[in-house]
Amino acid sequence: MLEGITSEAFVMGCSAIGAGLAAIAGIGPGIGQGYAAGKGCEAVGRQPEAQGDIIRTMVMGQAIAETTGIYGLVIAMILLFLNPFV
Amino acid sequence: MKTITPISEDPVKRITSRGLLVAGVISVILSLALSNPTPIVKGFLIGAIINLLNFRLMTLSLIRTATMPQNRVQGYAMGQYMIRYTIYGVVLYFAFRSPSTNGIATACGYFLVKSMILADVFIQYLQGKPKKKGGR
Repeated sequence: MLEGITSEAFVMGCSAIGAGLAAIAGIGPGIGQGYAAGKGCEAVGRQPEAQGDIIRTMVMGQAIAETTGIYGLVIAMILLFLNPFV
Repeated sequence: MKTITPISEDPVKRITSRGLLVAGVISVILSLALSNPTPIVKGFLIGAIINLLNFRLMTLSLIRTATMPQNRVQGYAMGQYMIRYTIYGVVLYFAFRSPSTNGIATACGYFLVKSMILADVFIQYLQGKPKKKGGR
């Protein structure tokens, strides 16, 4: 079945699959950020006097959480364009 | 009577200005240290600027979520995140494809805001640390 496929082409194909799997890492922070924003909104509704503090804390937390998705994106791009296995 | 605290952007402005300063300093150091610094410095600066602009975009969208009905917030926040993720992906794609920019340097620039937030927390921890009495 794998006749006629060079080892380099096989590695490139596997790298593309790996890049796709790495890009899935971007979904987690998206769900987490949406959930955190919903909870922040709920907290503002409960304590409107603390709106500034809640949003400030939320911005910092979400900026940290967002980098987790970027890790996956960077790994995917490295696998596609700077493939270390070829 | 309870007073409503205004939404202050001070930490965001502080982190953005520190980020710009640190990006400039790192660029100067790279320019002096490397023999062919143009692609690396260009890539790093592009990554850092995109990261700072996305941070600003995230702040504005989060401030907007505070006044939205709760059932719409999660979808809105996720949609905004996907837009920012797409911006990161497109910029990184062109950085890797273009011979005049270094993709790895662009990826390093993406972590500028995170480094600044962690440095800010560390500085605040050092400033708030109680000093030992009696020199012991």
